[in-house]
Amino acid sequence: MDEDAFRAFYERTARGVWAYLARITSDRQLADDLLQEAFYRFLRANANYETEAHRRHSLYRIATNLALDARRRSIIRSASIYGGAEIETLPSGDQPGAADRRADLTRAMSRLKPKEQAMLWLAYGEGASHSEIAAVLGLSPTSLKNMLFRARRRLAALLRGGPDGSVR
Amino acid sequence: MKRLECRFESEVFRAVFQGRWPGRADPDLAAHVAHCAICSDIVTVAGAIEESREETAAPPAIPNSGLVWWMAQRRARLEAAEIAARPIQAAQAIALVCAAILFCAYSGAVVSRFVAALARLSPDKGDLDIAARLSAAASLLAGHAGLALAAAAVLLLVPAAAYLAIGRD
Repeated sequence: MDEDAFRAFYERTARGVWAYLARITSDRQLADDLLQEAFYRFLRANANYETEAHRRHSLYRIATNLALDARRRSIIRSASIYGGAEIETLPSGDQPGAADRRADLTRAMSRLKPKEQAMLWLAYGEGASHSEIAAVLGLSPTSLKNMLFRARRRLAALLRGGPDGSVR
Repeated sequence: MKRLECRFESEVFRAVFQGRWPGRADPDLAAHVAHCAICSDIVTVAGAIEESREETAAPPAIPNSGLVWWMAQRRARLEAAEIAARPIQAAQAIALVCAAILFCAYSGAVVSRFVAALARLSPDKGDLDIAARLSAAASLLAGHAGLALAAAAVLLLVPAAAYLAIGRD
């Protein structure tokens, strides 16, 4: 990939990848570092991709692996990007603002497994198809459907203020 | 068997993703969502994520693409140079060890002869005159010049070789 192609690809994808990393690591600083590492590894792989979609999948797969490795190494600070720590249900009747709702999402997401967070963000933040998500996360499309259903059900329950987000 | 998908879920997601939900959504779709647990979950989750995207869509400072390219190229060059230097460093270290072994073997053999020759020049050998002693000393030096040169070379070259082999990192 030459410089012009890389720069165009970077401009198209960097913000989305950063948002994805920030969401699944819950750490903006780490997302900054992982973003550069992801693009470096992507360049170093120097692979030929048939389509833009394949190229994006590869980049997201690298970003996902980096984020999951970082979590495994427990280098993620416990504080979230909004400073939230524990899940709290908003008081009933409260009319939370946008910042509160975002904080709710962060706290609810933090109750999910890293892979669940990744698949939900890819599906509903990036608009990726099931096959694309399966390719990025290294899952079979059939398993993905099941896992995505359960993760979505659990997150929705948490966002609605369910006590533990258990599937009902 | 539990339903995992709904045929309207893509449509519901698109409505949320494109900001048409709930105000500009198709009323039939809205009516469906009210009775479909799957689509209702999608509205909740996709809506929350869409709102969150506004926050994460504005990261504090995404590095410039040119800078990222330059840093990646620089790092790739450094890594390539490091990988290329590994066999050279290994060869240098092996050469150093071989040189040290050869020197020890050579000096071990030569030093014993040197000591024996030196013993012949000792003052208690009263049967030798001054001329004979000088002649013996000269032949001793000439015979072991190789040893002296090798010792000097090792003393000078070993630190330099060690620096070249391991010091530059």
